[in-house]
Amino acid sequence: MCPLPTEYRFLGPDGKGIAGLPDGVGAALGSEYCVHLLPTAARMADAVAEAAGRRAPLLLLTPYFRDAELKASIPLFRAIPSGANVDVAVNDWGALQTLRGLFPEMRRSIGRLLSGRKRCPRIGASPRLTEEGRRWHGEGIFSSRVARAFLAAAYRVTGYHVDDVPWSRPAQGDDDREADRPFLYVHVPNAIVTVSDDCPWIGGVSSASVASCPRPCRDRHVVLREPSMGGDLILKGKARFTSRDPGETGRPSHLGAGAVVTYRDLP
Amino acid sequence: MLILSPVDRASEVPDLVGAGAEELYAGYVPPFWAEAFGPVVSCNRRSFDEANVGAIDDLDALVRAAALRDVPVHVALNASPIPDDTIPRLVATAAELARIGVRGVIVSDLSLLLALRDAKFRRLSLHASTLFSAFNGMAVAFLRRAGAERVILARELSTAEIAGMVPPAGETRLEAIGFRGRCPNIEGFCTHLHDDADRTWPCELRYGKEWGGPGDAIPPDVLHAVERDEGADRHFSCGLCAVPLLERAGVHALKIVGRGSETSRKVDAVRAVAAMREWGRNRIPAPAECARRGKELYRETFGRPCRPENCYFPEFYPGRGA
Repeated sequence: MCPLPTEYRFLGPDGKGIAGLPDGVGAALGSEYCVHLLPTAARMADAVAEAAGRRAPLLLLTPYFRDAELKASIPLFRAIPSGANVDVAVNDWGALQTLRGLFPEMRRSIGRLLSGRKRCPRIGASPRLTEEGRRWHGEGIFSSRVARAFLAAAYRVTGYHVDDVPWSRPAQGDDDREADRPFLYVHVPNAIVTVSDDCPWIGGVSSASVASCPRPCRDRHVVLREPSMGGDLILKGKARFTSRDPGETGRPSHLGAGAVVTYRDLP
Repeated sequence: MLILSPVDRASEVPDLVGAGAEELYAGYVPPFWAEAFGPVVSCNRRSFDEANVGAIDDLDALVRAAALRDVPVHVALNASPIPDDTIPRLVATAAELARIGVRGVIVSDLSLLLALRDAKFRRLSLHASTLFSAFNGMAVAFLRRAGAERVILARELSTAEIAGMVPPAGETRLEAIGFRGRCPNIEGFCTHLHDDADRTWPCELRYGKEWGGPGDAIPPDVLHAVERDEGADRHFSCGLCAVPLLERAGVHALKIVGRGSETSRKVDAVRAVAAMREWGRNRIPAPAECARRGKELYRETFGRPCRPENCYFPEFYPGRGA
C-alpha cells in the first residue's frame, strides 16, 4: 500500500498561519508567478523557525526573475539555513543555475511553470485532438528520464511540480512508468493555465516596472467565462487558473503524488 | 544585428532576402511525428499547413535558394515535451536537416537539446527557443551548459535588460523577438491550446467577467487592463523603436514572427525592420528619437498608429511600462 502523500497547505506569499496547521501538514509560501509575492528574508527566516518548531516541512514557491530581481532575491535564499526542512520550487532556469552555485545543499524542485504539463481547459474539450495527442499534453520534463537524470546530476533536482488534469493520469497497467516514477508535487484544486508579465492589478504594466507592490491582487479575482473554452478561467494576480476540479471528476486525483499542495484562496 | 525572417517556401526567398532578411527560419514536421500525435500536436507549435514546409525535398529547395544568396536557414523543432522514445528520431531528423544544409535548429525541450548537444553536429547550431523563458543571464548560462549556442530571449524584456545580458553571455549569441506575434502571455509559461485556426485563440478571446472581490464590480482600471489585450491582433505587434538600441547592445539577431503568414506581410515586416536598423546606423539616436522614428515607421507600415497592446518594448510607449 502506498504511503499517503505529504500535504503542503499554501498560506499566502508570507506563509502566515503556520502555528495553526494540523500536525504533519507542511506550509507553502511565496509565489510561482510574481516576484512581488515573495516573502522578505526576515519573514522567511521566521517561517523557517516556526515550521521547524512544529517539525513541519516548508515549500518556498519562486517565480521567474529578471537579473536585478534575481540578485535582490539572494537574501531570501540566504535566510534558509543549510539542513532546514525546506524545498525550493524553481520556475526559472537561471534561478536553478544560481541556487546550484550559491546554495549547493538546498533542496530544489522544478515548479509548475517549467515542468511542462499543459492545462488549458480546451485540451479536454478539443475534438481535433487524438487521444495520443491529448495525452501528450499531460507529459512534461518529469516524463523524460534523460532530463531527470541531467537535472538530478547537475542541479540536484529532487522533484517536479504539476497540476492534476484528466489527461495527465497514467493509463492503468502502465507498469513501466510506475516503476520509475519521479517525485511529484501535485497542486490542487486549481491548475495554472497561463501567466502574463503585465499585471492588471497595477494598471496593466509589467510587474518589473514597479520597485515594490502593495499586493492589491491578494484578496480578489476575476472569473473569465467563454463557452468555447470548456471551463472557466480565474484571473488571480498575473496568472490564470482553471476553476476547481477541471476534470469534473468530483474529486481531484492525487495519483502518483509524493506530495500535494493545496490552495484555499480561489473559488 | 541580423534580421531573421520566417519563411514557408522556396519561392519566398528572393523577396525576403531582397527586403533585407539575413537569416531565415522555417517549420518542418517529419512524417513520423504527425503519424504519432495527429494533426494538432506539431513538433514546432504550428499545426496549420501554411506554417510548415511540406516535405524534406521542399525544404531542400528552400535551403538551396537561400544558400544561393548566402543566407542561412534554421528550422524550428520547438515542441515540448518530446517523449524520450521520439528523441532518437528527432536527432536523426536534425542530421537530415544538417545534411541538406540547414544551419540551426530551434529547440525548447531540454531532453532534445541535451541529445543534440551530445550528437555533436559540426555545422548545425543549437538555438534555445524563447519557450525556455530566458529572463536573466543565469538562464543563458543554464542553456549554454545544456548545449545552446544561441538563446532566444523572453519577449517581455526591456531593451535595457537585454543590453545588460549581452556582455555576460560571452560567445552565446542572444536573439530578441521584436516584430509581429506579441502575445499577452509569457509564451514559455502558457499552456493554452491553439488547435484550430478557425476559432479565436484563448489569449485573444473576449471573456465574460465575474468579479470576486470587495465591492460590487471590477474596478475600472483593472477592467481596462484586462480588456486591453482582448481582441488584440498580434499581426500588428511591433518593436521597431528598440531596433537601433538592440543592435548597439550587441544582440545577434532580431526575429520577426509570422510563419504561415502571407509573403507580402513577411516582406513588409522585413522591410520595416531593415529601414529602422538602417536609420539607426546612420546616427547614434537617443531613445526618444528612436521612439519618434519607430512610430513614424509603424504608421507607414501598418497605416495606423501603434497601440499599447501591440508594443513589444513599452518603455518607448508613453504612459505604459517602465
